[in-house]
Amino acid sequence: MSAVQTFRCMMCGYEYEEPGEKAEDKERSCPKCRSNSIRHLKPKRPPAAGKEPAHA
Amino acid sequence: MDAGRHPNIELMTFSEVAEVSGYVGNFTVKIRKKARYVDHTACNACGECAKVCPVVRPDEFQTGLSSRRAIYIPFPQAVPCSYILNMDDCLGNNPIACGKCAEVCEKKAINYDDRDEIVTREVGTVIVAIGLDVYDPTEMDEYGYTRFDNVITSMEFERLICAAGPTQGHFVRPSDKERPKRIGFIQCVGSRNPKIGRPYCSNICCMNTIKDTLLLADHYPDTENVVFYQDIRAFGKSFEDMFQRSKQTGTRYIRGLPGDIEEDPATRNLVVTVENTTRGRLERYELDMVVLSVGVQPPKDLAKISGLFTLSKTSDGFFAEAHPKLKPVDTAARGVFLAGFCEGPKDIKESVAQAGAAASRAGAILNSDSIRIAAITSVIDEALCSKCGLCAPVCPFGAIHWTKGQAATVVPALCAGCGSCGASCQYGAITMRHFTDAQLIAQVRAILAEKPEDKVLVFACNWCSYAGGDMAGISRITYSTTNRLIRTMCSARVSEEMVLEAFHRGAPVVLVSGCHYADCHYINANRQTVKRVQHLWDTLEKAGVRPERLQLEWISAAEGQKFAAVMNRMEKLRQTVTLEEIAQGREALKPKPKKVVKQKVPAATAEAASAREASV
Repeated sequence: MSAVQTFRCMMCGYEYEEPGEKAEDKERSCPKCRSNSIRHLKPKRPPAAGKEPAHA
Repeated sequence: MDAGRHPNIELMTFSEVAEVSGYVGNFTVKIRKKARYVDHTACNACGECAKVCPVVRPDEFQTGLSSRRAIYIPFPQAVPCSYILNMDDCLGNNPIACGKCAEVCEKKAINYDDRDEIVTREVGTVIVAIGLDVYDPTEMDEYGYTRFDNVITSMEFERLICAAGPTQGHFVRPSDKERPKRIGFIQCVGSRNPKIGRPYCSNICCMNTIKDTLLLADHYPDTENVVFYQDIRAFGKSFEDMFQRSKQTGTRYIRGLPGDIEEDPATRNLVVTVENTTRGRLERYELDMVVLSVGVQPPKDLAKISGLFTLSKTSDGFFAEAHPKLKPVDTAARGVFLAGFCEGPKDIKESVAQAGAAASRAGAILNSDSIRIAAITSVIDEALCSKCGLCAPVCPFGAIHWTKGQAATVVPALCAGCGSCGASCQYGAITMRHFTDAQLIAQVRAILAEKPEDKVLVFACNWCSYAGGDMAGISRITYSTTNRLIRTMCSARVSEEMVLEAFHRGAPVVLVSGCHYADCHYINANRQTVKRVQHLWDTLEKAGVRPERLQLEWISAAEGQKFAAVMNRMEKLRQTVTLEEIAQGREALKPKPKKVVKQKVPAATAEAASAREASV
C-alpha cells in the first residue's frame, strides 16, 4: 500500500495529502485551483542521532 | 480456422511472447511454446484419453458450468484440434502417477517428458491483439453473485443458452434446473463505476443484453424480461432498431440500477430493490433469475506485453494508440500496431475493421524497402559521452543501448525524437537534431534579450500545448500577450540548463507545458518532465529564488480555453515578481558549464609530456 505524501500547489499554495510514492506517479492537479504545478514535499529527515541542534 | 490453414500464416497457439528485440522491419521475437504433453501432429482427437482420466475440473470455456478432465480440448473450435494435458491438474508426470491416458492412446501421442520450447522468429512488424478479460463481479457484494445461485453473469448466460453449452441450449436456472420465467438483467456491472476503478463504458454490454432479450423472446415467448439500466447506448448501425424490437417483445426497461438483491429461501427467487429514476420511486421486483451484464477490463497480460513492446497505456489501462483520430491503429513504438479490445472496448464489427486497418498498415511497411523517419532523432557524440548510462533509462522507446564502460548508442529507427535523453545528459554528449541545446538556448536568449521582465517564457510541447495555443488562436480566444513560446517536440526535451538560463537572463516566470499523462505522444516521457521540474523547484529554493516562478501545466491540443486561462494566470503571476527578485535570480542562477569527461592519459603519453616539459 502506498504511503500518503504531502503536495503543495505552486500556483495557489494549497497543501494537501494524497497516496502515492512519487510526484510523477500520476497526473496531479490542485484540488483547489486545478493547476498542474504540484510539488511533492519530501518529508524532512530527523536530525542524526547524537547530534544536538545548534542553540542560539 | 482459416488462419490455421493459410499457407502464409504460422499459427502458434498455446504460446506466449517471451522476449522482443530490434526495431521496425527487424524485430526478433522469442516465443515460448508451452508444453502440451500431447503430440498434436499424432493426436486424432478420438477422446479415449479423456474417458479414462480420473481428474475432474471445472471447464473454463463453459464458465465452470460443466466439467472437463485433466486431458481435454480447450474448446470445440480449438486449433490445432488436439488434446492437451494440463500438468497443473494431472496427478503427476515425475514420477508418472496415473498414466492411463498414455495406456489407451493408440497413436502414442502422449509425451510426459514434453517441455516448454523457445522458438525465435524474425518479423518486420507486430500486431498486438491480445483481447480482453471479463470483469469478475464477486467484489460487488450487493448483487449477491457469490451468495445466490440464481445470480449469474452474462457470460454464463451465453453458455446456458448456447446449443453447444452445458445444457444443450436448454435455459435453466442453476438452483433447481427449472426454466426461469422472470429474468432480470442488471447493466453496467463493472462499467462506468469509478468506485471500483472502472469509470469507462464497456461498449458492448447494452447491445449484448438487448440481443439476449431477443433470444429469450424467440426461444421462450412467455418469459418476462426486465432490464435495469442507467443509459442504453445503442449507437451502432441498426442497433436502435434492435432496441425497439426488444421493447416490442415486452421487455421492460427500468431506468435505475438495483441497490440490493435478496433471496427468498423457500423459492430461491430473487427480490430486487431498485429506484426507478423515471418514475421517481422505489420499486421491488421478484425474479426467478438475475443476469449481471458484466463489463470488460484490460487483459491481465497487458502490462507484460506493454513492457515487451514499449507500448503506452491510457488511464483506463488499455493500450494507447499513437493518435486517437489520425493514427488509430499505430502505437508510439514504430512498426507495432493494435487491433481489437486491447486498445479499448469495442464490438466485433469495430474489431474486424481495426484488424483490417492494422494489417494494411503493417503490409505497407513490409512492402517497402526502407522506412522514412523524421530527422529529429538523437545523436550521441562518443568523445563527449561519459559512459554513465543515465540516458538509457529515460528513453521510453528503449532506443538507447548502453553497456557498462562503453559509450551509449542510439538506434535511429527506434528513436522517436522526444529529446528526453538530451535533456538528461549533463555532458552535452547527446544532440537532438533540429532541437539542439544550442538552438533552444539561443531562443531563450533572443526572447529575453530586451525587457525580459515583461515576458513569460513558455516551453510548449509540439503535440499538445503548442497545438492548444493554436486552438486558442483559431477560436479567437483572447489572452495575455506577454507570453513567448519555445516549441519542443516533448516537454521532456526541456533541460534544467534551459530553465536556469531563462532565469539567469531575467525571465520573471517560466512555464513548462506538455501533454496530459494519457496523451503523451512519447509513451511516458512527460514523467521525466515532472522529475526535472521537481528537481528545479528544489534548486531554485536552495538558490533563494521563489520556486513558484517556475510553473508546470498539462494542456491538450483541444484545450484552447485552458491554454488562454493558463497564459492569463502566468501573466498575473508575472506581475507579482519584482525587479529585485529578477535581479537576485539573475545573480544566483549563473549557468554552470557542461561537465567534461576526464580522459585517462595513457602512461606512455604522460611520460613523453613530462620529458617535453623537462627539456623546455
